[in-house]
Amino acid sequence: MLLTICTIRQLPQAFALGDNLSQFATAGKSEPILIGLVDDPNQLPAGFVSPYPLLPIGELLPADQVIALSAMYTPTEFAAACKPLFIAEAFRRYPATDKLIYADPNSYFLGPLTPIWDLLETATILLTPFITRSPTNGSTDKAWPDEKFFQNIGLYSSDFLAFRRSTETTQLLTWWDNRVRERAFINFCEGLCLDQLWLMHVPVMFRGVVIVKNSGWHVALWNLHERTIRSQDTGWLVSGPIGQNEPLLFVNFKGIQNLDEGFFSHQTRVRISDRPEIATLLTAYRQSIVRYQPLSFETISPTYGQQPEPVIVRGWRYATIQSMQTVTRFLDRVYIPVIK
Amino acid sequence: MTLAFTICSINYLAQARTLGDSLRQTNPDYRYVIGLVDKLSEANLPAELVPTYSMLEVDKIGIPDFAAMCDRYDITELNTAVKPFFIDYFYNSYPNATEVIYFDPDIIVFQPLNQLNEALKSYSLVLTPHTCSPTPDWERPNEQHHLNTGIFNLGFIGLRNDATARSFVDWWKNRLVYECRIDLCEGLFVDQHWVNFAPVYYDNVLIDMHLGYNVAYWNLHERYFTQNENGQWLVSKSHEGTHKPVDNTLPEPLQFFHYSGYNPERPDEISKYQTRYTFIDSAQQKKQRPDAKPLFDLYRERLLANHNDQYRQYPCVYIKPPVILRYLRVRKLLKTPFNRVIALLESRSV
Repeated sequence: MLLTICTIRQLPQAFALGDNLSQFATAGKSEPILIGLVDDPNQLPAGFVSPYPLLPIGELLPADQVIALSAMYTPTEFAAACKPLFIAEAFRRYPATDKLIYADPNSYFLGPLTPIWDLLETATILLTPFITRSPTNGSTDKAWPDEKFFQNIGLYSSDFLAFRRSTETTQLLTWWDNRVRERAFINFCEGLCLDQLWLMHVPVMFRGVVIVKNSGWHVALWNLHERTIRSQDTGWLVSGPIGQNEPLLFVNFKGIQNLDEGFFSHQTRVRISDRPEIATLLTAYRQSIVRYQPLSFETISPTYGQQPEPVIVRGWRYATIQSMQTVTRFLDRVYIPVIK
Repeated sequence: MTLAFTICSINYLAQARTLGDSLRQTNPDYRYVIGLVDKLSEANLPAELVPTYSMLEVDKIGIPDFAAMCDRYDITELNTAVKPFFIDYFYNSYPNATEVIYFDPDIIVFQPLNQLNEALKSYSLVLTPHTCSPTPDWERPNEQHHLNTGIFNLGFIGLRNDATARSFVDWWKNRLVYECRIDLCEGLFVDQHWVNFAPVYYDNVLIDMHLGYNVAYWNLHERYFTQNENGQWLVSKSHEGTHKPVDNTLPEPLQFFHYSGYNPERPDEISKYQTRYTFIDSAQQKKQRPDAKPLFDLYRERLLANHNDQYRQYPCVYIKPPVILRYLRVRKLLKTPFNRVIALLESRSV
């Protein structure tokens, strides 16, 4: 079973992911595909029929709770706060399916899902780390993100998760749901970052958790610096810290497809223009979305998440802010002798 | 040979001796060393205060540019930053030390650590989580604190002397030269937060959920204490907890207890860092843990017998006067124009 969560604006990507996944589901067996909608379905154009089952958050939570969550969170935080609920509901709605993949709508699969299902034969929960090796090249390395930043956002990405129906999974979802309803804010100083930072506890608190480091899994903006990708007759192959020539299983285009999305808008470790293979993959990904573009959902702003998202500033503005922050930090710390 | 060590200044030597005594009694085959972040030559200890255990002063282990490190760090940061440097020194100076185990000085060991010794035959690193199950409320400390300061408690780490562990220690050392600070907003909490990366970067890491390891105020909610007829301390999971054990519910023998934040002069306080429990509370406003009281009483007795009162008088030579930032209002005023421009640029209205 495959689950993604999105707003109306992201529906074309979610539909493309649905098509993409049905193409690679286990041969001869169609997997249920479910889209959790963290938005108000009344915003959809009249007469719109979704190619995949849509489950609006309004069906999972009473209206007053949706309004309360919406008032306290940004749209990103709101979506994060609903994730464990959707996963639990997906398990409830499809009692005949025992394995579930959650994937962000920016995900793009390039091969059969068999390796994921196989791991779930013995594992109960699969996590993928953002990076699998220290990215630091000596003490002069000033590239960003550094390792400290991953401590703030969590070392495991919540854009891809896989679960087997089990007591452990149920316990995890109950615990996680309880945490994110009140604590899915992005507030690094307080030790909070969406649904994601909570995952740091998962390998310790639950049994059967496998941290998948395979270089062919979850290739994304944040780990391109440690992975090389090449195309062969048989398909795409990835080499990285964990494994040489591993088949490319999936890419997450967050921050590549839409530059303002995700935590890595200001990353300086890779230049996408230096990685033609990513451009090729991105073209293929964009083509998969094209057929849903006429829906023109991109103008529909998310209904839920009343708090403003942080603005992504670029170019001279960003550079100026950086220098000014250096000055204010200096003013905070500089020693001023006591004048008597 | 297994080398066990701790790190402290002279004011904590009562704790370090108590740990050494417990190891001598329970694990006599371990070689025990006290890493001293202090100078014996300046303290000039009287004979009865010189421990019988080997002591290794921090300025003798060849930390590159140690003076600059002392300038950068306060006493807590310095005491934690030197941990991987000591481990590295032991790897190089005691080639027959096949395992190195670090314990905080305020730990005592209750049992022969057979299971740990066995684990270190195959695992490169052994780490203990602060808590193996959800914390029951939002009292201090709770899961959110651990997200900011580290999943694993670095009052304990077991390392094999193998390539993986050496590579981890080298990486850890490099991080701690400049970034062993406490700056939660920047993802920094001394040496401890960094170790979150260990199971991500390395495969051969054991996260040991043994109930009897590194028992401390941060995991009391999942560990309850009883003594059997031989006087041996046993630890069991709570049956009222939110996360019911699915596997092993049998009590485990207590292996080592970490008396973090405990002050023998305040014998009724579990730790200055926690707000969840009290030993006995006549007003019954807090959850009570009378089962833990005898474990603290026995520790208190041992500390006092090991001259805690006398050691506490010795100031550490590496201690610096705290930095007091003055003129906060002037600073704020000077920052105002810069903060206004930042706000303007972030609003994208220019």
